[in-house]
Amino acid sequence: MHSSVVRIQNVFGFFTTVAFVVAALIAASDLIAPRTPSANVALKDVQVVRGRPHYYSSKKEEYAVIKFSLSADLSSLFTWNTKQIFVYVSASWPNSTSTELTNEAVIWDTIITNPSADHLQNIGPVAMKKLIRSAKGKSIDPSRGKIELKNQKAKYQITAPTGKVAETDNVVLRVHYNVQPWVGILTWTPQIEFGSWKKIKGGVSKAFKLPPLKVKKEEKKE
Amino acid sequence: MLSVLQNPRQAAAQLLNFGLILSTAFMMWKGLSVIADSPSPIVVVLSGSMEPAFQRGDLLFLWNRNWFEETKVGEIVVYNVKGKDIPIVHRVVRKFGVGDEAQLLTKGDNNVADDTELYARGQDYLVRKDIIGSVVAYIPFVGYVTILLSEHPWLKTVMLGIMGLVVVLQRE
Amino acid sequence: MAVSTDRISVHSMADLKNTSDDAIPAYLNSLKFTQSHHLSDTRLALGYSAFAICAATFYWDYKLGFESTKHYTAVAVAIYAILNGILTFWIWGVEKGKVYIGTNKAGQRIEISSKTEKFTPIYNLSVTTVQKGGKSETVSIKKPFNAWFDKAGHFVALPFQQMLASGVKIVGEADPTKVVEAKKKEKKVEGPDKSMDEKWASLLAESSGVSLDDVVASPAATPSGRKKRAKKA
Repeated sequence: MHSSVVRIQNVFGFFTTVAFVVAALIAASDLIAPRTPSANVALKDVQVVRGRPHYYSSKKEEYAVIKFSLSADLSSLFTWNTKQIFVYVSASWPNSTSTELTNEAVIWDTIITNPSADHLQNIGPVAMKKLIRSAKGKSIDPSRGKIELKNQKAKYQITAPTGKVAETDNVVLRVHYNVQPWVGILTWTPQIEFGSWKKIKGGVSKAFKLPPLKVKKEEKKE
Repeated sequence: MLSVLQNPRQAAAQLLNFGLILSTAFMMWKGLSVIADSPSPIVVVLSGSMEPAFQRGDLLFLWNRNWFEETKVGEIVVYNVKGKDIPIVHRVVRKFGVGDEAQLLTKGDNNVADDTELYARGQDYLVRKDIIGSVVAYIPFVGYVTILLSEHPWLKTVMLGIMGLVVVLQRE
Repeated sequence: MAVSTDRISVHSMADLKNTSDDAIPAYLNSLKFTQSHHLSDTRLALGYSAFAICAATFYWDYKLGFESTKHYTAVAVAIYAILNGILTFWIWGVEKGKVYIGTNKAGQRIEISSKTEKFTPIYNLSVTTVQKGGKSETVSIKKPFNAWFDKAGHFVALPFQQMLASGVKIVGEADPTKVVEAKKKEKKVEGPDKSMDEKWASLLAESSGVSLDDVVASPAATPSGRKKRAKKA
């Protein structure tokens, strides 16, 4: 160690190496934590309306408004390395030509943060205080991962590029999640079981058919 | 130390050391680029449109090959708006169809509206070609240095200058 | 060989080794050894061609973008990796610390490799002399750096040259004035089995600059001792 410059270089290099190894170990710890999520989603009500699906839409088209109920237990997905879980319910339906579910649109989503990431959420100060207090003292609050919704109105309306969604058949609602770690690999709902990570139990609703266009008293169906 | 430059081979060898450090770093970046099939396999989050998942300064690792399945709804992708050079990191919320012509719609978690307004005029959906990669891994904060460097470009010159000086004068 | 006016930090192993390494070709070339540069030339060729590939990749990527050139880039990365691998092997396996390869007028080849261990300030030289007929012999010289660096960090040429001249026969033949009795120093270390008289004699001999071999007939030292004695007179 013959000069301060070299000393600083060595310390910095060592720090980087240690940080890198620690990060790798934390990311790897995700693989050994078991995951056993389960969910139940069912359609409650659906209507197909013609109009502007969002306030900023430039044209009128057919869109479906869905109400559903959801009960899920995702608490096993929370580990010390989880930053947040993005849960989303999507509606998928096949093209007229095949049975493959080739169309999918998210109708509802929510973000469940790990208590360690609560401060990053974009909610008002009062709600923030409540959120942080709810998890105080516990490393992972089991009730964080549980969702119970009855008759929830979808956040987003289903549309199609063709502009028509009335009477689409074989629509299913599916529950998905995306685990965002503090450091490491992002994971989604698994298609295959991997080690101690199980596929989501349930999570798919029964197939249903979208109703025909709702006729308003003043409008005529085209 | 400078008297050493009287010998041309010596000078050439020292210059080569510096050059090889730069070129190895560049080639490793290009190698990663080719493997991930993305022009920019590692990106830094610049905006807050994906909060609370990503904050400004986070580092994202991208993968642009669909080995197991197609890019699907729920994946976080990075795309360039046609004609603009700014990469946007958002989540896919709609997918209609399969294959290369499938139409995709994206939306930032922290945005109320989807990205229809961000797309080029007349473009309502993205296609797979527009996407330069989906996020597969993530490291927090590390990329903040690049944000500093891009907002204060003189820092870049200063850093490179110092690095070069140190290597040439030290012959390690 | 004047005393270098550049100072180096005596605490830096890299500086000590590099300065000593640089002094070898300077000294030997002044003794009319012809230096062979093929080692460093190959290394420079390998290194600069790898760098050239990198520059080309940078250029076409900058001009044409990633998508259209990615196959060329993939090939270039592979070639660069191979070249770098060869370069690393060259430095590690072929060069192996060689700092000087030269031939003298008589056609004898000399190859010098230097090595230092971490945190030990000793310069290890391995000198291989190859005679015209192909016979080679290797001599190993170990000297601490403080033999030719003063406290302030200046390089003093004389003791360095003496080390080379005394340690290697053909260097000594080319520069006989620099050959000194290395054995005097070795004898000093053998203290314990000497008698009191011998210790006095060795001290006296040291202070008067006369080789101990002149005073005490030692079988191992006799042949060279005699030659040197004659020159000193």
